[in-house]
Amino acid sequence: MMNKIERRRVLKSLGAISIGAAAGSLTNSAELEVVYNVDKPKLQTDVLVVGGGTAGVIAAIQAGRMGTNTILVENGSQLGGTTTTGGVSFPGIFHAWGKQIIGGIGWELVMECVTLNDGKLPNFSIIPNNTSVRHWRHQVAVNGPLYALLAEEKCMEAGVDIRYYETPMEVSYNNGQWTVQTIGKGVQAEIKCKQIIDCTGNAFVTSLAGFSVLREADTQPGSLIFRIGGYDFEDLDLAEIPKRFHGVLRQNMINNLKLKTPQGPFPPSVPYGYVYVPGADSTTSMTHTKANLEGRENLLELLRTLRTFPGCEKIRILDIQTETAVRETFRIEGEYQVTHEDYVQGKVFQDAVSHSFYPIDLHRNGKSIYQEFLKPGVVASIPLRALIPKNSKNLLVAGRCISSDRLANSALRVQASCMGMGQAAGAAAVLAHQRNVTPIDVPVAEVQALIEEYGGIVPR
Amino acid sequence: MYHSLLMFFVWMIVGYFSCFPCMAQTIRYASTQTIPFDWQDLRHDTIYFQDSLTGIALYQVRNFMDIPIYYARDILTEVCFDSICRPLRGTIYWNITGRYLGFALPDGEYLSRYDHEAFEEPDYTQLNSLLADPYLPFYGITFQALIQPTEIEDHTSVDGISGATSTAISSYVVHGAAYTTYTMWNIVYGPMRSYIEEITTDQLTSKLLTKILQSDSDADKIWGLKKIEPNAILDIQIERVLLDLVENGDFSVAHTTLKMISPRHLSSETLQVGLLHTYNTVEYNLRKPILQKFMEAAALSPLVIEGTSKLLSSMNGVQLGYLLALYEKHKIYSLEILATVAELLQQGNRFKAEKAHKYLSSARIDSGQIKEVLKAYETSK
Repeated sequence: MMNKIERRRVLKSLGAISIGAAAGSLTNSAELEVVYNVDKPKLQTDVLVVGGGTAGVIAAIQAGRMGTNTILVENGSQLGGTTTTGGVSFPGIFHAWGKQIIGGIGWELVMECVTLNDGKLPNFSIIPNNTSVRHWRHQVAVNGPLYALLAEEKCMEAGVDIRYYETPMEVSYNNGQWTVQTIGKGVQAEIKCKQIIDCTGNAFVTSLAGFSVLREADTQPGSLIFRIGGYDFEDLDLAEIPKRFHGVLRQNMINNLKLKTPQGPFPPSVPYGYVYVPGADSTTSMTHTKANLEGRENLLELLRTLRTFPGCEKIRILDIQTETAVRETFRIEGEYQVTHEDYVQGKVFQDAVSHSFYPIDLHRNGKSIYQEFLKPGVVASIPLRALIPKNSKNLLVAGRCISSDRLANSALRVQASCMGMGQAAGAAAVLAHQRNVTPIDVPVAEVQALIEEYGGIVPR
Repeated sequence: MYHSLLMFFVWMIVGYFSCFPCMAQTIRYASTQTIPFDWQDLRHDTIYFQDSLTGIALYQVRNFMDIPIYYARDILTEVCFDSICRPLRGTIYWNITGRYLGFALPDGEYLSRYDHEAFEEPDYTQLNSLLADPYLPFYGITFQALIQPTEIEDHTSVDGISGATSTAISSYVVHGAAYTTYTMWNIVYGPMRSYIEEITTDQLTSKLLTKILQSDSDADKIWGLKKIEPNAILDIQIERVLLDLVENGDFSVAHTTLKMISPRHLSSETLQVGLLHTYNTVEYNLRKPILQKFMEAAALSPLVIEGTSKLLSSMNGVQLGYLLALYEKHKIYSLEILATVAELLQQGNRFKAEKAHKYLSSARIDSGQIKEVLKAYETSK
């Protein structure tokens, strides 16, 4: 039987002959190739991070900077997740009540992004009062594509092996070691590692590994984010436009509107629009495809409707994110579940590894948002136990899918909180690896000290 | 902290504006003093603006040392939207950075709602709080536009960016006195405020600027920081205040302070050494900006070089990278530093070792021992 190399050589020579005979010298370099040859690398690493989004990037950088062999698997083509691919390019909240509460690698990335883009920071001295100064004023507008570049650069600099276009398909644990089968374009890799950090946002690895995950019967909608142009909001006769469309028209032009102040202490907000996508789920290719299709369909319908209104006849799409951003899918069942009460009371856990600060913020039915603001001085905390799937070994989770009830989750899912969790998970995974134990057995004081050494802020 | 500005109290008759002569005032609301001035022997003889029709003037009140303390302006305006109500007479006060300080009404004057019901004490207190908030959505918008429902309602919030006014206009006005609130707020934050800032800016001295930077209000501090001339030689008092702000200010104040320190300012060795001292005391997130600030100096003080070199072994990889980049920029390659950095190649942290390797690769190395360590590292990669 002809082996693969011989077959390829024959195909090449056949190709060269047939094409050469049919065309001039310009095409003579073309050769027939075997187009699909699945590589099956076997890889070994200390820490495997799955998901290169808001939390995963930070977890991978933390692990890499500690000199640990780290692989980062991302099923898309760039890092940053919600901040970049999702288009929510104003991460927050890093400050609360006059103090910085989330720092470390996430803040470093955001600051570099602002600096390299000649951006402007909000004035964090001004405390939101939820009337004239809303909480989102402390979110930091960043250039999304630049954020993706910087995240990638920092991963590379930390020695992180980035594997784009791959996703896990099988996960098993034997004798203190994980084996993860991934599949991607022309690749089917086997990655053996000591510690996994599941930063998929959907608890995907946790589920594959056989641990319990939870899901609400009715999840929050996703958003497909876009920008439109070709109209001037100030010139619109809003009385002629149904009220339900005012929001999208205004939001898209937000930096030109009345949010300016006599002092101008806040940078312009990011203008953008969005359409809700009920039930959006990014867990699998099929569910994410569905979310993208629905989002784009909703957007087209919106565009056509808007163009029927006076002053909006020339509205056009300027930009659309390539994916529908997702708020809520699965959550793990962890060693501890952060509750609504924990969150709004600002409980400081003995094993707290990060702060979280955001109103309870539950998008309901795509029409209203249940919001509950934290009382003055209250800042929530995230315990390490909430990052550990119940009864698991050598497995951590960071990001929106940590163990939490629905209302707590609606607040702690935001980007700065996920960054803080990512750094904590990275630190805990490396310490567990170094001590050859599972993360729950690492003395929490050591995790906290390591987080602080790398600039993270530990609730005390 | 800005928050404290919202904590107002009634300050009756005596004290704060006692020398102001315009009218015998009986209702006064004012914020607490934030800039540490000597309030003795105040005088108010400076008129910066005289409206020829109404005779309304802007007064600057100065102390016995001729330092401006605050500004005051009488107001005469209609306070009812339907113009049925009587005109309002009163006085509005600003501090020297243009920040709202308070208001006063003359004897017999009072504020009322649209139904002519006189304000109660809580209404005055609320008005005072509202006037102290520069972020009410009243700027650059007509009252008619403001009260349009579509203009004030939340535009379906989404994470992060959401409508400015999910609560309706009632959150921003004294009940039944929307136009009064709107009108007075626009006087406070209108052109007069910019004018006041210009006057103070013209009168700024090093001593006055120091006082402003020592204010309890972060808004005052940031105002003062933005007045620092990049090409000026800072006096020692201002240097001390700046270092204190880096060390003890909140993030925005500390960060703004660092931004305002110019290469020219860094020609001062005391400032450089002071910054090094703050490096060791500030929160982690300010350490990188401090090291980056040293990048802007024309030359590094030997004391800074010596001080930072002692940190080399204890820094994490990121900080190490910034410091070594600083050394590279200023061509700092002493044998002692090279030897310390060479040791980092052997510590086992790949990330730190790469930072060390980059720095050593930029140096001309004469030491055979260091050359050997470097070669061994490169071979092992």
